[in-house]
Amino acid sequence: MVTRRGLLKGSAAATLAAGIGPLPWLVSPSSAMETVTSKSPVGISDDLANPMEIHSVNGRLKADFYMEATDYTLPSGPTKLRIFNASLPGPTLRLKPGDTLELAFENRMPPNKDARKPVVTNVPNRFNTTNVHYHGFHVSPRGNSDNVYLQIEPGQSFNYVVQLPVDHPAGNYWYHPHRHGSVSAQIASGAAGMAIITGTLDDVPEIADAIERVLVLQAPIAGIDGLLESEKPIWPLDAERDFLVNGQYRPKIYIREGEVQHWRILNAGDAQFIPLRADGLEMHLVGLDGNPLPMAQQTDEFTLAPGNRANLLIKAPKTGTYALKRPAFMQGKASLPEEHLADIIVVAADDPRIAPGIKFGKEIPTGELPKNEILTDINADEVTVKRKFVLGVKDVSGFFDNTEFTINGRGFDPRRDDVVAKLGAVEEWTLINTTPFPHPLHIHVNPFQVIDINGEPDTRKPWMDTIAVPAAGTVTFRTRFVDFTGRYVMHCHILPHEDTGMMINVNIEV
Amino acid sequence: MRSLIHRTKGAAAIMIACSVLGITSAKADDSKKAEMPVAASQCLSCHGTNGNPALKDVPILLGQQPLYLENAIRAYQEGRRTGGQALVMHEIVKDLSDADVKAIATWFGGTQ
Ligand SMILES: [Cu+2]
Repeated sequence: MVTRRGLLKGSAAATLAAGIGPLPWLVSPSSAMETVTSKSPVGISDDLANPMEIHSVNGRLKADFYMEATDYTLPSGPTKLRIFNASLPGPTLRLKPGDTLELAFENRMPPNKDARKPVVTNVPNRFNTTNVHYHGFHVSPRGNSDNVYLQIEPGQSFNYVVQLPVDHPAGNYWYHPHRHGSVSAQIASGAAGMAIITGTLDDVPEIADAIERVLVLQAPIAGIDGLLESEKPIWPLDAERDFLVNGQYRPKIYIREGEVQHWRILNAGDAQFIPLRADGLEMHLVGLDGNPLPMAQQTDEFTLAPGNRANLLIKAPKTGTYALKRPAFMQGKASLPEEHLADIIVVAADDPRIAPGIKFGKEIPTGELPKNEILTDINADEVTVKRKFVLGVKDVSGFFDNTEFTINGRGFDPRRDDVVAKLGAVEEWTLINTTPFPHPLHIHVNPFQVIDINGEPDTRKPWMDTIAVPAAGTVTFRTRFVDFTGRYVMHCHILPHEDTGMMINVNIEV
Repeated sequence: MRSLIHRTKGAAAIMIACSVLGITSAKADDSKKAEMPVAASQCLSCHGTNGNPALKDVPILLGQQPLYLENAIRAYQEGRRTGGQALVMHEIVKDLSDADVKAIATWFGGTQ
């Protein structure tokens, strides 16, 4: 059967409909940012382009941001998406530890269709009300910093000022909206971008020698007739989705024979996990979420839950065409199909299309990788408090699909402090998942060190900010509440679960 | 086409909800096992409607010795099995009565 989706998939549909034009390297008048055009790092015309970047200058990144209903052509046809700066994904922010990020943010979306209806907490609502969260940033959760309790209504503007500490861990972070009730709709629409804080892994010679790519993986959902106005198409976990890499459907990615490239990969999707394979190529993981692994780890497959990032070194031993794939897999009880994400084309080392001056990394680092210095191992004797959190679901009639997702038996309540902790506390949290689906839990402001999964120690003891609690399984992590007081959240990064209740408030007091 | 949502709907799924709210759903599986104890409904979402698990790392309950199942549930209740997935089982069975435990063990053990 020929579907509309099938018809459009092969052809022009894959390309950008809107976006940032081919601007040259620009320095804004205030010199508080530089922009770098979206472009292929190897300079081949049909190669996957990195998203446009905005860099800090002299300790500041000051930029105008907006969220708008933007015309975009998905593989399924033309639609309107709620995205940042008319760009799918949003521009990559590139910062240094100690920088100040100043975003003059404007909500340019149309008025909410349900503006007159009262809000019922944990029922999706007001898809055009928004805010901005800086995922993984160790910054203040208060005021005009990483404050997810803000409600920025259509037509309103808000100035964010986010001060990174000078010892902020370097790595891959991202930004996305976080207003409870409309998070899933906006992220399922594509509202997200990468945020890189430079240093640590970037200074490893083998990595510094490599071409760098940013790969933002998303599977945007169109509304039935333009802008998405219902939670319904987001809700089915196994809904058919078209996965895009940097806004493109099945792009080509070029690598030279013998080359090692550094890929920063983000799962910016709203619900589906992404196991990744590139059979025929070598994959070496060097970082998870923001942070370096103890050493490069070769793997055939690794999984990014929604919200996770990885630093991957990918090596091409032989010319040919390969596939970047998500293999078919079970997400708990849901069976999800294989997805062909991109073609990886390995060309001759001296391919004339690639200028000789372009970086050509060839080595994988051996031995220990550097650490983000402030993230020292948390041993058992440092732990001051232990807590457990039970992840569940219950029937609540009248809620979306009569469902409320819960933590410790209760859905989210913005007025309730679920955890009150002291600044300086070191805590061990065990997450216990009583449902037959995995839940990737994310905590704001302070990263955590993973201790065990289903009782099995993770010997790498990775520092992360989002960790999948397996279906009918457990995760234990340790975390330090340092530097910042205030209120923030822990929640499931399957965003329909967050919007329907799987979130708690954490209040850090002096 | 089957549409699988974030949680399995229907009989097999009411599970945790029932235990949390104390709702009884005696008609949990009306097709063939009318005598299934109410408390067993919460087991089904992971261990499967016929006692064969829907998740790879969850054990088969179908046809196990009832005494073995009873002892296992009590061990989870009392925290004698601990760590990892035993913590999940503890949360699920901690509020079951003696009679519930026996009924569940007998039903899964006796069902072929
Ligand atoms: Cu979840």
